[in-house]
Amino acid sequence: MKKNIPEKHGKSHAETALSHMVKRVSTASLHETVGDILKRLQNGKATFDTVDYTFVLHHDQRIAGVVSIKELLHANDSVRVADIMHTKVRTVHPSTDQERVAFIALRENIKAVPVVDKDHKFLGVVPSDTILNILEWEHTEDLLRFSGVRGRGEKLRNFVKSGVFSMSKARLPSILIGVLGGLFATSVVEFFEKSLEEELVLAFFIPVMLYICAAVGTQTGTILVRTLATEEVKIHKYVIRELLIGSIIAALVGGLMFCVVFFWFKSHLVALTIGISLLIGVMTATLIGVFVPLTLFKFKKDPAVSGGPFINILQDILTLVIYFSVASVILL
Amino acid sequence: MMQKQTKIHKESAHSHMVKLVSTASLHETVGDVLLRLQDPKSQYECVDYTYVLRADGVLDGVVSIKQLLNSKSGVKISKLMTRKLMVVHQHSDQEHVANVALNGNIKCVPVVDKHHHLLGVVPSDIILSILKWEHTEDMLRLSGIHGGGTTYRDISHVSSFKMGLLRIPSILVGLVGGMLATSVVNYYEVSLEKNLILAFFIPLIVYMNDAVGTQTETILVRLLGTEKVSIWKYFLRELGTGFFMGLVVGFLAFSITLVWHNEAILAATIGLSLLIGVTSATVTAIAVPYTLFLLKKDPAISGGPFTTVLQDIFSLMIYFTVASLILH
Repeated sequence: MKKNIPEKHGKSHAETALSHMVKRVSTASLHETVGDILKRLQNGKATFDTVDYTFVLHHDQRIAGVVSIKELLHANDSVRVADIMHTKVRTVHPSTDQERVAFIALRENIKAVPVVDKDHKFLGVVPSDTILNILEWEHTEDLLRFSGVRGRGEKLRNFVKSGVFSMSKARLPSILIGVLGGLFATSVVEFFEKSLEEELVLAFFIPVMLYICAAVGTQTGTILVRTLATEEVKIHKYVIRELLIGSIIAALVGGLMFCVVFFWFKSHLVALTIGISLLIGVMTATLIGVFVPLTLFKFKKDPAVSGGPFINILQDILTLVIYFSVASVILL
Repeated sequence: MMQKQTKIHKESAHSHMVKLVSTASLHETVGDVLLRLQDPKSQYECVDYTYVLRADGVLDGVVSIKQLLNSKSGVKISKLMTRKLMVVHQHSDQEHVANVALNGNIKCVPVVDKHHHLLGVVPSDIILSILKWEHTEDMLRLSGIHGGGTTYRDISHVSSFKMGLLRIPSILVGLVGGMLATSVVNYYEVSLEKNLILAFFIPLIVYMNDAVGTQTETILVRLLGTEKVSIWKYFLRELGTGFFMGLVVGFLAFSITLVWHNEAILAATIGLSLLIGVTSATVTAIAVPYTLFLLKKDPAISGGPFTTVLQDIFSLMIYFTVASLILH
């Protein structure tokens, strides 16, 4: 696999492949037959944590291949396991993040993911029911992080059930950053006081301007965050597609608003200001929606953090600067 | 278990199940079942569990492959089987199937008809995929991207044109809502002319209320997707949280504005508007998704344009009403 998914920072050791691994797994050596393995599986003395897969090992404990219980049952007893096993086996290391383990299971369509040490020696597997649970936990975490709720691990997963004060405590930090950002946005508008005094109509469009740019930015960011987490993509191709979609939406929204404002306020200059500001604003939002998660990803941070309030208020400030700059050029 | 009912036709348990499943009757022994499992002619698609059927075909119990292998071949299946079965019906939504697997900690979920006859099972790899699709769907819907069916399964391979089509509707709804917000500000033109300074704070007010609303909504969508919830309990708790956060945010904004602009009345207007606005944002962010849920639509649809722009309009009305009461 060429692309490396960064491991999330701030995870405790409880969130790695090692902590979810079971050790009592069926293994076999290369010369054994299906009958040998099935006999061992049925021997009441050896209790296994999972019987879904049997891992075929070399003498030095490296994985030679894998065979599922279904394949074992369907094969003749005398068949050598080496002849029916799959030799391409996707493995993880003990320190691999749990989310990565789950997504490997998804991509490779396997039920249990084998764990090996740095010498490729077989240690155990992360079983299928655990993988299902990991996927669900990680989803809860991603959604909450994306909406600016802080926390990690178990605490964040159970967050939805917590009380008023612990809930406020987890949610307030991002909101308070928002207050500071919002006050900064206030000073941006204040900076353009002269423009506002001359054209009060500019104030009417502040909410819609902020809203549309933020909405497009959120869409772009969400798609990218989800794609980075679950798919193997060629980043370049993907970025070009997003920029293309952003341009289409920018042109459409800008054109539409130009028409609406023109018929409503009967001023082609005001209409032009709104239309052009939206065009530039939406394009900017697309760029930010693409490049902020990508940068976080490159620096091995969780891209889902980018969905938080920080990026939104940054977008708001940029939108205001674009809006009033365009207005100064066109109207004044 | 609450269950989304949006996609009954296309994405039901029935459409994901495999039919060649290992079954046994009550009088059989472990040896009988294992013999059949090992017969190369019986091409079972799923061997993780063997389902035990009564003579009339009704599903009565289940034995896992691990149990079978760990038992002596003479043991009767009826002694070994677990009778507490987690099942889904053929029309159950795929998300429900995944939730049953999660809550029951089982690898495959059996599908039955209304007479409790076994129809097939949804195998573990499909359950894993369902969970992934549903998660993608949640995230994209929350950000206002509305595809159906298979769109969410492979988001990186949707063409630019099609992706544009999926994203534009919610932006257009937002545009209409945004124009309403424009007319709200327009309505208070006179107040604005007298106190131009009010315009400076529009971004702050709108932003803060949206940020809190988005949090509330995300938590609610997650709750509705996974667990039984008492909506009133959640509503009251969220109202409490909203009020508390409103106090903190309002007080902070009040203090900074007071120091910055040195006008107590203006600072009070901003602080009070934020307190009321943030509290009201939690109400809107629960009311809209929950209404969708009651109408049997996916509550995640409310994300993106609708709730946010509605809250924008409320926020502006609250802000200018408070301003006209305090400043005049």
